[in-house]
Amino acid sequence: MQISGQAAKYWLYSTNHKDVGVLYTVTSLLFFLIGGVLALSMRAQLANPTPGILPTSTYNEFVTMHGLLMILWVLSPLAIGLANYFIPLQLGARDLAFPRLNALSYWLYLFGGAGMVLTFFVGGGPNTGWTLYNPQTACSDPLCAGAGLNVATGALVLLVASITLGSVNFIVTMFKMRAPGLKFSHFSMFPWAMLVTVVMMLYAFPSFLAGLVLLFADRTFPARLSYLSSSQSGNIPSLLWDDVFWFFGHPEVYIVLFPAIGVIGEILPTFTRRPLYGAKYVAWSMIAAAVLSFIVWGHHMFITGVSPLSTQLFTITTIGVSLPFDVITISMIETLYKAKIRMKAPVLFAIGAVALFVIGGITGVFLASIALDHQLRGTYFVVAHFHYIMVGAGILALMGGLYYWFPKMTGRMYNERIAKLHFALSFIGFNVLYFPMFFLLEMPRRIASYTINTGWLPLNQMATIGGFIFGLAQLLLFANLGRSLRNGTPAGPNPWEGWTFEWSPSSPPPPENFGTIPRVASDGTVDFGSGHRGSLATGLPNGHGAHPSHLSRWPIIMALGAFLFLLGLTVSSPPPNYFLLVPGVVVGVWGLTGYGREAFVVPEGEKTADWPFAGIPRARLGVWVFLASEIIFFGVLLGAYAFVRTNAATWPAINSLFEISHGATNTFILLASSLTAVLALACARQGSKSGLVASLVGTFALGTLFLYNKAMEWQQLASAPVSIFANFPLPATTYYITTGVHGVHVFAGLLMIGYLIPNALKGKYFGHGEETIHHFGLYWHFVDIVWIFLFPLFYLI
Amino acid sequence: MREKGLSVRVYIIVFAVLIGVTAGELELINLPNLARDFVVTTLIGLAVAKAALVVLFFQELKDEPRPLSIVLVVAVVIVTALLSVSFLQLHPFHT
Repeated sequence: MQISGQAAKYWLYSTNHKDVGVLYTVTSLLFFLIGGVLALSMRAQLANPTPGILPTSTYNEFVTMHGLLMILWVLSPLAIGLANYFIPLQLGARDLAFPRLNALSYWLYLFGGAGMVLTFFVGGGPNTGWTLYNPQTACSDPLCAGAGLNVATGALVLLVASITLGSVNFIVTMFKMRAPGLKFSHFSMFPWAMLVTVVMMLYAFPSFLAGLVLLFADRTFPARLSYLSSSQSGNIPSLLWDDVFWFFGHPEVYIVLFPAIGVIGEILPTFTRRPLYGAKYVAWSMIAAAVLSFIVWGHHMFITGVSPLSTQLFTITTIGVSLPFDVITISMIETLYKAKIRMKAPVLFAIGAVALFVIGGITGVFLASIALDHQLRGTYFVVAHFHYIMVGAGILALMGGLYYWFPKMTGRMYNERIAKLHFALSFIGFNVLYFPMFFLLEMPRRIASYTINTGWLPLNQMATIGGFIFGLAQLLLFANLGRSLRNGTPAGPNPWEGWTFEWSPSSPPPPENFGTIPRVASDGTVDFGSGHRGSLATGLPNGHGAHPSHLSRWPIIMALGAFLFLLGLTVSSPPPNYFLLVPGVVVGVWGLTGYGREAFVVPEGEKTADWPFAGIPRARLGVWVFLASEIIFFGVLLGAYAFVRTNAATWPAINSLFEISHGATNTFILLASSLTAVLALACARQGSKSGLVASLVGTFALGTLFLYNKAMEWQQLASAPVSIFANFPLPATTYYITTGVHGVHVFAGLLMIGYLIPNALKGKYFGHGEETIHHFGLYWHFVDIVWIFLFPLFYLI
Repeated sequence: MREKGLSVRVYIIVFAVLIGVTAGELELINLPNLARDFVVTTLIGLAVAKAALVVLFFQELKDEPRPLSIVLVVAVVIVTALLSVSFLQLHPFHT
């Protein structure tokens, strides 16, 4: 297939949610192929006890990369791809709230994935297992060279950035851009599932980001900073990583699972011709499970020697979190019970996913028992359990979703016979692959070889046969969808006689989705526009202001800049690599400037359902939601500091290492800058151009002074006769990382002011423009608040 | 029609309070014979109070719809829960 330059440009620059959805879907399937090849290599290795086809070190890299790619670059992104395409359609919206931000999320995801794969070629992929446990991640040499883990850390940072921006985008869209009259109670199951998912992403991923910052510092500046790998306080740093990682890691399981439940909740009603049984309770169950998911992480740490009280607490919560899933499963079974099911491929995948979810769920409850967990932790029983959840329920359901929505995305039907064959082979292959693992109760996971007298060979060989059946079956998916894209029979707008909004427009839908935004009456009936009196949408801008083509080049440029920058920071030992770092900064600043200057307006004119955030503009809500993720991020960083400090054997007395005068001076400076920032808003509201400019300049000057003082302090500490790094490694590390991350935030704020001042001189921020000053203020005051806590924690206590 | 936002006077009063509380923090650590736990608790309490002033008045959260506060409170609760349980893990109440 030849792609013309015009088409390539279109796909590189498009910000339309459907295009971005297609990009996410296709990219995640490509990573699925890579992860699958790694998995089959591992299965081939284990089909014989020893010697295998892979050296042990390579096997460890494959295990790690398989886990990271499949969980973070396949499962969630495949769901996000479908959500990108269908959530705006299901809400009756024209696009997501921030289309360019959406494209930026995708490109950060792609470059992150590219960075992750690149690790194979720059010293070897990470070989620690996907959990990146300390001390496996600790540096083995003074330069912390090799293993590719440094680059992988940068790639994961890009991914978290992508997910955070995506979460903000979806949350604002779902709260602010629903079709008039569309209440949450009208939602079908996929929007519900995605709403719960993105809220969980917003609150869970910042903890991982904070952990990555610690890991990044440890591995990038090993001679000076040693957070996780410090031996000053025994095994505390290792436990710190466990907490930070699993606080993200367990919700991540549900983040992966909920979209699959949402897809099943769409497919079953359509193919049984009856509503989902107890749909309201399914939605509430997902909310309950989401809440509980944040207080179950400790069950991953039962064997680390943590206190008995906490293990008891986590046993209770872990058993408790299974209850909402019981409700969900019963609802799905009841929906199917005695129904006249149209046995098409999507529903086969959905039913298969429910069946496998039951097995995965039940075996998970075993692991809530401390006694059983002690025996089963780290064995193939656990491998089987989580693959039944993540692949059995997760992947199979999402594949069902692919078949379900393929006609809408392409306007073509897929080949039903091949799709059913795909399901049959996948289901059989999956069970032959993973069910034997439940009986490998004594075989540790992540081992590259074993001896013949263990008796593990037959079950491993069976699993390998199943693995190849399952793996090869996926080729049918690619062949079927690829061929149907060109030769499939025309689908029409609603081939399944579905009930939700996305089946209303043509297949594929036009760029703006709906000629007229649908309107939902209080009884739930929908008016799609023909009899629409006083249409709200007709005659309004198309949702993209000066960009009817939805094209913007800046998201990909910004993502490229971020990628080069992080690569430059991590790829060389010792860092940085200026040949990558400098172009990264240049490209990033160029992209950021172009992004800011581009007249890409998403009008707020269309009347939409926006409870409970009526009266808050979309962008302001977006900033607040983003700040919620920042609260978690800084909270975890400060918590890590408190965690390490309270468990450290010694700590320098106050005013001995960090001088109070430095901290106090900077506190007064930053508080003053908050005053000038809020005065800038007041001046914008009053229409005082000179006042606005003066206030912004004042804020810029104070922010710069703060950073200057901070830099002086950093320099003074680093060059002191008594080395802070040698004599006070933990105080030095916690101080430099925490205040350094805060300093980066201050610097980002200064960049914003640098952009605002010239525009203020042109008189741009009056009337509706004052919102921009308000957004900046929200960010700047947040940065001030962080320092309000840093000051007493580092200087006064 | 009510003027949007708060008056400059309110902003300056809040700023003055923030400066005053910061000065109070600096004084507190010099007071003799105070238990360390009391000092630590008070300093963290004062930081929370200062943060609340900034959020409510400078970020104008008090004028936003109430559900917006929930978005932020949830984040604070999550962090607090994480820290509390993390500390609980390390301090056995019985052996």
